[in-house]
Amino acid sequence: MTLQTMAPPDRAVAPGPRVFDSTTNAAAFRAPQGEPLALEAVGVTVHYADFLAVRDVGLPVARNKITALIGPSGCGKSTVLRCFNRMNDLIPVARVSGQVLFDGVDIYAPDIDPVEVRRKVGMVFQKPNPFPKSIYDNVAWGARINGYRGRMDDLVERSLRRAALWDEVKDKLQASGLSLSGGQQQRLCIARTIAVQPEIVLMDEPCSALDPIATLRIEELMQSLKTDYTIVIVTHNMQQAARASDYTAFFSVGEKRDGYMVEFGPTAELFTNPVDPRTEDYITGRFG
Amino acid sequence: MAHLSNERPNERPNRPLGPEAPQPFAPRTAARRRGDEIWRRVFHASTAVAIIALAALLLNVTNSAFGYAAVRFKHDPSTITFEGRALPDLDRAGRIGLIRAQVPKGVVRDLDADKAIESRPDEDLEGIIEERLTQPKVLHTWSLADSLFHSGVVRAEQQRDYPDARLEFRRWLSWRFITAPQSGKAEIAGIRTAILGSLWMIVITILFAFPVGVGAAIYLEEYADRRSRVNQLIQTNINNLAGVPSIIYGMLGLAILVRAFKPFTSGYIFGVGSGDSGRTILSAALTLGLLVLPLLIINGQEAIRAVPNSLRQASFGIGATRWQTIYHHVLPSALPGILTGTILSISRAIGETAPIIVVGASTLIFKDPTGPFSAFTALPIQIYQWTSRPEDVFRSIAAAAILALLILLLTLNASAVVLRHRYRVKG
Amino acid sequence: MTRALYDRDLRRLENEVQTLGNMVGDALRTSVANLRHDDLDASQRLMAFDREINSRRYRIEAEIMTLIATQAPVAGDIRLLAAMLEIVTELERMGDYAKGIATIHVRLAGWHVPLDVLDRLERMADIGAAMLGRALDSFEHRDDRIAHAVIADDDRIDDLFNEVFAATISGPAGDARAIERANYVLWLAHNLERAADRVTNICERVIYTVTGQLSIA
Repeated sequence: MTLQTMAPPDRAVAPGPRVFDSTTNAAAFRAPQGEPLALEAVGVTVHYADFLAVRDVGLPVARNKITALIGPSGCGKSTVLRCFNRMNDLIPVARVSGQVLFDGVDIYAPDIDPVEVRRKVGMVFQKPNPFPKSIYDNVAWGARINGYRGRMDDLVERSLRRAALWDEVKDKLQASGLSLSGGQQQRLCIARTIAVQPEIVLMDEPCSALDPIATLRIEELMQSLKTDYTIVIVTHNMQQAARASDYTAFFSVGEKRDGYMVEFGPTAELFTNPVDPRTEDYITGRFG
Repeated sequence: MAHLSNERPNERPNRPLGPEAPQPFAPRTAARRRGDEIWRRVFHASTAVAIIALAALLLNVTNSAFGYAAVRFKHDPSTITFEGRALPDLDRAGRIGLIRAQVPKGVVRDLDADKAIESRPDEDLEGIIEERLTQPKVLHTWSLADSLFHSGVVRAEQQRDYPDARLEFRRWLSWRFITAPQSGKAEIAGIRTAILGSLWMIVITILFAFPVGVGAAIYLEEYADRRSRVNQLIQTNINNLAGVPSIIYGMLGLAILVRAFKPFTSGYIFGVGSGDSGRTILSAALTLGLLVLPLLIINGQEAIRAVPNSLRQASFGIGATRWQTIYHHVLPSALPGILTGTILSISRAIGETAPIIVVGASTLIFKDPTGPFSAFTALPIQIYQWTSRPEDVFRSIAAAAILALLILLLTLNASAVVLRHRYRVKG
Repeated sequence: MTRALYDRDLRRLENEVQTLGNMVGDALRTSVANLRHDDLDASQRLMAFDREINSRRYRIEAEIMTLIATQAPVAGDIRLLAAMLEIVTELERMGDYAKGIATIHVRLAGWHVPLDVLDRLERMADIGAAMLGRALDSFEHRDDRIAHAVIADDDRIDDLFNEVFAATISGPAGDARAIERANYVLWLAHNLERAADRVTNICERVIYTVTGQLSIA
């Protein structure tokens, strides 16, 4: 069974009974009402060797919306993000339990190929990491190895346009990807990610290495990408989460450095009227 | 000597800037600067020592490779004639005729059988004439320094001690030297056989060691689980093998390749040769291959390790498999480092003497190697053999061979630098 | 505690709002007391005093804008700041009502408000000032129950206003002068009723700050 053989059912979500640990409460979980889910984490727990990194995460990701994961350092938000495309598989000591449902199919099922998962769930990293190839090849390579059979020139142009980079590089497609500025490199990484036509794009603090103008351009880009993709973003910049996302999940870290989800809800509500006092403390900057 | 910064070390800036530093600071800036100066001079001096040592080596070798020589011909060239013309006046056709006329018939037949005299290059003809007809003998050589700066003294000495010899300025390192075959007679000996032997060896060494070494490096860095005991054991052993003395590799080669694998290394299995000797280029090449293998593996591992992990993450994130990531991203990035390491390994292997002696390099062989299953000699062997002879002239040609070897190594290292630069700019 | 400076600024602003509230409460009570004692000078002073109230309001507003621009407040902080913006606006309008009462007093120049009406006006002023006091308390202690209770008290003011209204328009129709005076009396009552109404607005803002609910059920 591969993900391709399952036709994605477009189902509305009803917030079913959830298992919360004793430190969260049901009111702090405001599920997306009537929205179809692209991804759903159910009881996800991650260990690195014997160390419990994040426990019992139940996180819905609404389709064609931007979901932000915020929280202090070490709360496991990047770990949770990496569970969504099985990048934690590459860490030998990492053990993931629980389920991550992609259109109803658990991507950690033994008969699911992680390589296929990663094509459908793309990732943009914190520090822009374009391949040391030309701009054209950066975008084309992923498509090539995934067996793209259409006209590559068109795909490259489409992807670069979608990433708001085409006008700046159309005359120098053969230049090295590394010759671009930081913000441009990050948009190039976005272009190459969407060139393989994923359904979900994960972003791990994509703007933390960029200057404010580049940051705002990427945020704007996210808004336009939302129409075609589902976006999950980890950010430690609260204003960014507030500005750019539709739903926000707040994670915190316990005494034994174990991370857990404290609150989840629509961004506007979470930032004007959070339920949990820990959320309020964190977003008003009085944490710790 | 370039300075890494804009510091002006020879000035002693000591004008006070503003009021004294507040207690409890006592910056002692001037004293610290002096300490800096001393260290700078120490490093300066150590570099100078290294350069002087290298320069001494080069000068010494060059000194021996060129200079005046007192040459006594058995048959003076001007007394050898062909069709009425003396040897110095003969053109190529004349020399060929001379050879056919005056060299013993049996020898001429053998030479023709090997390669027709008419189709041989000029250097070969010179060699034949010298070896068979004029038969020069060098009685004494003088160093280049003496030859250039004290030529009067040299001349006087020659007149006094070797009155029946001629004084010739000989360049021992010449094109003829490089292309002439081996010979027992120093005056006409060349290093062609040795160079061909070395080249054959090194090509086979690399053909064996490079894929195996790089493959092992890829496995150890990308696929193997670094936590497992077995892999840690393997890694430790490879690191240790890099330090094993090369003679031990020679003994290994002798026991296994020359003796145990004789049918294979002698070519018998492939239908070449009679299978009576395992002392072939193949044995030596594989022995050297084993010797440089740990170096290549370690170097390959380091080059692969130096590739930033963000590159692999980006590749996996797109949905590439591990091999696609390695082949398209890791290896191209690691290639400059791997190539540099390979060329340095070649340089090391070319200069190895002890192991290939054990494995059976001949010190005296006259036929050029024709394939991997030939008997052979190599350049370092030649140098070793010549330096152990007492006569002046052998010292000279040994020096010339050393220069040839150094030039070869220099070329290899230069190409390493060029390749590294080229691939870095591309990437 | 992180953001100590920011917290100090927030607390300082709250104190200023409280001070302004007290000033407005005093103004309202004094304005009606001046009617009782017919102290025209005091009313003149009260009219001038309104300038002080206005300038304080604008100063507080400017500080709130600065804090919003520079500190990016969210959640409880931004509800608090938004509430304070509204509250000082309401307070300033209430101050205007007190000034209005003083202005009418001066215009009436010697004519006395009928005693029964004056009683009712005094009671309206007392209740209104008490409401304001309790509203300011609920703001200080973030107690939305008090705020709800104060909102309920608005009914008593409305009743008193209706009584004044009935008593005034049922009086003799008479000449233009009498109509003019009746008009002024209605304005006095109207100002006090509106002032109390604004106090209920303040209470709604307090409830929003505490619970995040924007409208009462």
